Amino acid sequence: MKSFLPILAAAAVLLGLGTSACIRTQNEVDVKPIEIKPVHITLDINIRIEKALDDFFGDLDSL
Amino acid sequence: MKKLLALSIAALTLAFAVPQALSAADSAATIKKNMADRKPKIEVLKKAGSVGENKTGYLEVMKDKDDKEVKLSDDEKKLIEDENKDRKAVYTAIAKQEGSTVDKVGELRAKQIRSKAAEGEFIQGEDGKWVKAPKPAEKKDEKK
Repeated sequence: MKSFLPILAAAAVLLGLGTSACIRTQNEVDVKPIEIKPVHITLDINIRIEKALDDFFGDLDSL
Repeated sequence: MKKLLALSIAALTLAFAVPQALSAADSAATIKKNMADRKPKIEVLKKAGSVGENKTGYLEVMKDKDDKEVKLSDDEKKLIEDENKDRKAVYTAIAKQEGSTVDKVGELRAKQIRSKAAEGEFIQGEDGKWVKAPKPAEKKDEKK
């Protein structure tokens, strides 16, 4: 029985390490969309500006 | 009493907002008409190579071989100044409306102008180099 105790302890440590590794991976996945957001906002503003420029200069450019 | 207060607020809002809106619309229409009137004369200067479209969305007098500005008449100088002044007013209004900067709006307008420039007109690329606009078929990259 005593010989099983170190094996059980080692198994518990390994299980703990494995669980913490899983949690880290999930955190990385959550961060990615937040990094992309500013790019979308910049593109959106540029598109709106180009649309506003087209609205004003469209007639003039086609003269 | 509350109705009177609400009516007063509404009247005051209309008194200030409507003339401002009308004034902005009138101003935009006037600028557009002036730009349309100037366009044929500006095109002549562009075709002659005296004036080009710079990378910030404005007209710029070109330089000769000795790095001196091409000579323009007083009327032609005023034409360019008036055009650039009106362009700035439009860029400023759009920047304010879209929460951006006048420079950014000008840069995006310059990109549009480059993609529509007639063959042989001087245009300044984003890298600052002046080149003659290519044939329309060769401008695919500018539209992206």
